[in-house]
Amino acid sequence: MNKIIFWLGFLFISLKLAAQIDLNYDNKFQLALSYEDAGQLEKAEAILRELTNLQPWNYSYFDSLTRILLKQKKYPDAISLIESKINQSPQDINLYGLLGSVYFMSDNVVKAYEVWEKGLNVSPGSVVTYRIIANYAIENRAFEKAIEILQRGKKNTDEPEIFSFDLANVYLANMRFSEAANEYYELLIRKPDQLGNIKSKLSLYSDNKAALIQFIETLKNKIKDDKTPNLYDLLSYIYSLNSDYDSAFKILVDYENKIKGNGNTILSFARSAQLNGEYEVALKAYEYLMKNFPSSLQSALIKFYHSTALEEILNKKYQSELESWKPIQSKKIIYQNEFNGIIKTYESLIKDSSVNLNRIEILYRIAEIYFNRLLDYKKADSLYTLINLRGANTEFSIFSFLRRGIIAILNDQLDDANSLFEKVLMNNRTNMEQKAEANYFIAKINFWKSNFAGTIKYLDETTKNLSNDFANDAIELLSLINFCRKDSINLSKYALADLLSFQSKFSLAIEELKPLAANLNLFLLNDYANYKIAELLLVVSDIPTSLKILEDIAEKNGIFADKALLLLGKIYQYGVKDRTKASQIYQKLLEKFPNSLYFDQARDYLNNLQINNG
Amino acid sequence: MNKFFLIYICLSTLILAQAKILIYMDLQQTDHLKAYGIAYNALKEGMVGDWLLNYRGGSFMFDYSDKLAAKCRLKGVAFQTLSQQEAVQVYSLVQSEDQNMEVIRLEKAPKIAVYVPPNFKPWDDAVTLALDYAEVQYDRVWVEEILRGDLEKYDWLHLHHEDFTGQYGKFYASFSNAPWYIEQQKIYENEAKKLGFKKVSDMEKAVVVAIKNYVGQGGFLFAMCSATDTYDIALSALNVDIVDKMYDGDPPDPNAQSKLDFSQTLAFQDFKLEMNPLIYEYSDIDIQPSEIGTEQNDYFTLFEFSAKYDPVPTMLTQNHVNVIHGFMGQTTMFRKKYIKNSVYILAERAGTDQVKYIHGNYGRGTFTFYGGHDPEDYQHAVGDPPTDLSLYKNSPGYRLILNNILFPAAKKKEQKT
Repeated sequence: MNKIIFWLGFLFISLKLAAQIDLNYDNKFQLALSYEDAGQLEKAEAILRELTNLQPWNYSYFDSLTRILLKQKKYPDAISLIESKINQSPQDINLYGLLGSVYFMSDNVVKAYEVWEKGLNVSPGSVVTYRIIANYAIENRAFEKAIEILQRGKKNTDEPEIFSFDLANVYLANMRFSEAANEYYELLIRKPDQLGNIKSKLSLYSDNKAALIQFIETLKNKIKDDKTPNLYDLLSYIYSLNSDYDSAFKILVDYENKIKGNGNTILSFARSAQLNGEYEVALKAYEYLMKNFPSSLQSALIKFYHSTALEEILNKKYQSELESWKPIQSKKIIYQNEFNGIIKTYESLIKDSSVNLNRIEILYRIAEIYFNRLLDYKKADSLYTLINLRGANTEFSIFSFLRRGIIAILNDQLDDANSLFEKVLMNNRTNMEQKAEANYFIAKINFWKSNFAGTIKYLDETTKNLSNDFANDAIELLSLINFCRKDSINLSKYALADLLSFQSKFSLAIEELKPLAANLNLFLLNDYANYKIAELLLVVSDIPTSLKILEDIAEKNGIFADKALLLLGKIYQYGVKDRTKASQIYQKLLEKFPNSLYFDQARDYLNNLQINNG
Repeated sequence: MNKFFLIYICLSTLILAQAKILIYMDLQQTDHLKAYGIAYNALKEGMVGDWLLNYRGGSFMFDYSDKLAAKCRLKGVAFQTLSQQEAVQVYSLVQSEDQNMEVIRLEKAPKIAVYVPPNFKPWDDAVTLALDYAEVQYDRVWVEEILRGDLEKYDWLHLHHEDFTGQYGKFYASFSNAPWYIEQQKIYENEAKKLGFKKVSDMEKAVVVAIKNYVGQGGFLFAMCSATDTYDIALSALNVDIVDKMYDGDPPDPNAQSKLDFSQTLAFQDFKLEMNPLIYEYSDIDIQPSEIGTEQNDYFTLFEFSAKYDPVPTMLTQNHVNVIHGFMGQTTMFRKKYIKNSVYILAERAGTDQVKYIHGNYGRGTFTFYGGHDPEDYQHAVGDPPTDLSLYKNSPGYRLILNNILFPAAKKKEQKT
């Protein structure tokens, strides 16, 4: 019994002592770390040396002591410490990596490589061995050595794909893009599911043309001998990153053929191309899908996107046919058959009950074509009305009210137009821009009806937010009314001419304006009338008379002198095609009106003329 | 001297019977930045002009020519043509003793070099933006050109968002995996290797010494953002390793701070290094955002110097306003207590120890340091698009940059003090 008590007591005291010792060591260790934080490295070193001697197996002490020796650049001391640790644990690959690093830091590259080599020999069949040592080489920016080690790992182990990924990263860091692409190729062959990872890695180089070109060239060469489908997908992706959508599409078609796919990759490519403004290639892609996958579940959607792409291309062509330099455009119908074709497709999609598409959007698109391109206002109006009925809660409803208001003006139904614009103002869903438009048109209606007080009220509303598209026109109209309000009879005549001009009744508008233009006693209104006539004459292609009027305005130095000079310049540049004369006129504007609102525009035109003259 | 100058002006204007073009630089000017380009290019074409310090915001006066007038119009630069009599009146006002104004003759367009690394991105440098916008021609130089002595061909050298300590902007913590960072490090390492340096930081030390020699021999150095403090830090650390392992492969000297040699620096002294490699700061020279407060309150004030007695700082501070909105950078402003006494303070945040703009002499040359990255982008971040200067034609912050390019064009006068 006594013996038992004795041994139990002995054990208790021993454990207590051991715990006491551990606590002491731990306190000392913490003290050493505090010294390190305070920059007193020598004191920290002394404590850690003591602790390491007492507990040579303790990795924390070893690690901290090594770090502190390196901080003090005591490389020989660090080397002997690590070597003694290696003697204790000769299988620890990390220690070889670390020792090699210390040799590397101390400029002994040969010895560093030698030690790393020893580390590699510890377990030459293991993936981990190569990766650990290669990482030490990479840390020391010994990239060539790292590449050599990783290549050996790829060859000597049974998981070469891991090394391909590592190698690609090292090559990318060294801007060796072709070699990186080679590694990605190998990776893709071995592990097709890595395609997403590779794509995401390459996407980081989307603004590096040189890298993209090297990726493309390498993969193109690979594809010559290797028809693995994923390669096509990857190459197409890189072409897209390089904004070469045509090539991307061609390669993607090959890919689809190879995998006998359902066209989904091409569809998502086409959408991306369309969103990036690459309408032609998007159109080609949709046509391919329509031809090759006629019974696809997505065929209605493809048809719809196809039509939208076609519409965008036609819109671009339409815009290029307009004489955009003229201040007032005469509306014309061109590409009628093509636009009708698009309408037919849209209509067929609406009729097809099996199709799940936003029919209100399609209706609105059709209405817009009738309104903007085919100038069939009656048809457009009926469609906009339908949208107001069926899609009252959609964003298209407010747009439709605005369009119907304009159509009512064109049809001379000003009261109807007014109530349509009022509906826009009363709608909770109307945004600021739409409100500004509605206010502006109500102001115009008041103006055309000679209710100038009402006009001012709504123009004030329009100009509350100056960033909207109608603010400038509103300010211009406000200044006209403020100047000429006292002469309401003549202002009414001007307003009527303005309405006729809006309704594209240009000749009638000119006739209305002529008496005002001839009456020199009207001062400002006379200037307005003359300038407006000059603009309208351009629409009816009477350039000589327009030129004459504008030259007179410019000569008189009235309020439109600078504006007239700018328009004269444009007429000579685009209408008469006399670039020298145009150039002289722009210069005259710059010289005579340095504070003009049109100064910057004139300068840009002049700069353009000079650039184009070479 | 003044009277002689006035007589000379009167006679020359009468003899040549020529009117003048006054490019005024006050609030009436439509495009201040292009105006500098007009003046610079006029000098380049052999014209001689005058910089009328403190007259209408620091205006330029040139002999009238149709070509110059057309150029001003084309570039949107407002100007006024003056008759001989009007020009004489302007000159006599500027020269009069009771006005803090002065006429500085501009004779020759300085040859400009900008230190631009090969992986330069448009967001890197406000000066190249300003020079490009003003249409001022410049050459790009980098390490190799500097080390082989090419700087002697240039009158003016600009440094911008460069890190002369060799720590790649201390972006390691945030961007070490970004392709642009990886590429940048590799480009610098390759250059160091090509030129026989073991470390990038060693190469940078050679560069700062070469630049210092260039200034000493009469060059004009203009630096912005991190190029300012890192330049001086690198000079102070010529004989000590201050760079951590991830930047140069070995640890820094644990006693680096005590080994700094401030006698080597141009502008700063007694500063404390930020040795943590993961903290995006080099030293305590730079003012921290928390010390600045809100953007709305961040304004700095230009000092007014005597135009007749201190023409150089006067030239550098010509502007149409004297309180300017601040802007940040990796180095935003300088702490006043670390600026050497010999250095002129050109602009500071009134009532604080925060200095924005300084100037000093070294040897036969001068240096000017301007804190912040982009005067019209308050907090310019990596990857942000470059500032469109056509939207900031009257930027007073950018004007300070452009003052620097014309300052070396000034005919050297005898100092009055």
